Amino acid sequence: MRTALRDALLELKERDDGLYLIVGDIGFGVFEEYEKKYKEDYLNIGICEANMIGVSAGMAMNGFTPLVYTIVPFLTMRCFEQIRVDIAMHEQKVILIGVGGGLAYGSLGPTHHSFEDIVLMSMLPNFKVLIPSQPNEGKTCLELALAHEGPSYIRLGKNGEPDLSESLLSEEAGVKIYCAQPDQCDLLLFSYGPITDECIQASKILAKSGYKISVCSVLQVKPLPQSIIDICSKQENIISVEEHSTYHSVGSSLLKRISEKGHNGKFQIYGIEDKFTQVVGSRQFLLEHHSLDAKSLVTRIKVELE
Amino acid sequence: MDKLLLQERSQSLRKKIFQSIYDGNGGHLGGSFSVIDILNYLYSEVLVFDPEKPALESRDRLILSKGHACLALYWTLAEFKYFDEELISSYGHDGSVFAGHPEYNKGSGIEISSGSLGHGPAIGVGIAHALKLRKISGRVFVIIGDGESNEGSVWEAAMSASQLKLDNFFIIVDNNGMESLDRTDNIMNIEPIDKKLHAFGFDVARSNGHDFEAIHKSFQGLINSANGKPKCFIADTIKGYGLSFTQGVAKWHSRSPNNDELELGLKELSS
Repeated sequence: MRTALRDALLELKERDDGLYLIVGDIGFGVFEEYEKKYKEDYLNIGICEANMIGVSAGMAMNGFTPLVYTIVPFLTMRCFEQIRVDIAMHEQKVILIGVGGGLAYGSLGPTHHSFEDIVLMSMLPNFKVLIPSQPNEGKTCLELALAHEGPSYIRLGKNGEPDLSESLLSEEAGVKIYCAQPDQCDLLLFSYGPITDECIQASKILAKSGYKISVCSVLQVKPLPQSIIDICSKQENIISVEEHSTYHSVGSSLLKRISEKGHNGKFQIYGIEDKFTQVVGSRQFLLEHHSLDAKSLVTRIKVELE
Repeated sequence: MDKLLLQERSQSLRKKIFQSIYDGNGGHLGGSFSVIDILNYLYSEVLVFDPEKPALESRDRLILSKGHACLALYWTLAEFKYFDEELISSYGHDGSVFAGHPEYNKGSGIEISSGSLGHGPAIGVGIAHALKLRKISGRVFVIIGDGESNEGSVWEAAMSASQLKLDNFFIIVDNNGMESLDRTDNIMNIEPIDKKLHAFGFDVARSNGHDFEAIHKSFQGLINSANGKPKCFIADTIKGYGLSFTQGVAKWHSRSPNNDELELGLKELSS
């Protein structure tokens, strides 16, 4: 996913020479081509996230569009107040790009995991929050961020995320629909980011038992597209599946919006419960630990529907 | 440099600040009085600016990172015609555009919102770096407090300024020796602050921050050297300087004068 975003950046940079990439000594094997081609518009600022955010805000005040890249918790949590004051309060167009969202850096341990970042960035006024589910969405994320007058946060996985196009049924105004149409399903799974793949796999397994599970994913989680609110408002049974804390998640925002429209069906959030992930293993292993992998989802959904 | 003019201007600014703190029922007197001579000197003698064109790209940028001294900035900006001084009378009252810490864009000439300490240096580095890349002549002056330099982000920015060879970037330390509750050296000693910044790659000058001749001499040595090194001026100041009963007295960090103190202070500042 990070290389797909890199490729999109190389392409967009040709059209917008104000783009300026700042990395916090992260990105080995990712940005070498960019650095070689645009030496003047690249800075490895070192391991100093608070400073990195302030510098990006100062540059944005003076004609640049900085893209700031490092690992999610260091980008969004260590220097949250710098993001709040220097970027958000000053309404600067800075694009924060976090790599390793959720449990992507599984075996590196809980310091490198993130399940608080989306709510933190979403709370900041005028911040746009974008999360690609698959590599081919990286470019759209960058384009949406560039089209936005204010700041954006893009949360990436790591690498090796599969392309999900094969299961795609339709796409409308920011929502991708997989496996079954919402108006013909027994249950709707709402998702965003790489965990959409687990939802699709679960839906396919459940289809063999006769269940129709629609998977609806969004790329822009703040603000949520009106289309996902319209779709979910009509659903009887929704589960939001997230690689994020269940406390104040994207699902919480969705639930608020559909409740305002009179939704009175069932709504659950499957995510990371109130604990740090202090077991060691790959992302897949940790998804199983949190009962968020496809197999666990199948089990949980079967209990729900039977 | 007209030393007498500067002294008179500082005296007048202190009086206005003092009155505003009384009228607005709050404000940071100690830090405003320690920094006002530096602000006065910079706007009078150093900064390139035009209040008619506050967004001019080639202007020098002054960032008051120690935002609690906002009244010193408001009154200096009014003195230099950025806005009508009548506006400041709303300070401390509901609906005022002048908060207890500066907010950017609310009055022209206020470059950034500050108040949370340690933010100004990094933003200033970003501005100075952008100006250099775009080959624009403006310089960036960031005023921090000695207490503020407890913040690690100050030192991250200092390292970046040096690494990026920002000779258009200035840190000015209002070294008044006191933080909110106690003397700086009892809380987190920052000395030898000049040697520290020198070791971080800065050209450093240090002098009494209330003596205009000494300040002027320090700046003459710093200002015109395009040598790839960021600059630093350590202004050794006294918190609450200018009034006999506020100088070096910790309680005047953020205290408002009562009626008797107001009368006494205004009389002293008028003499």
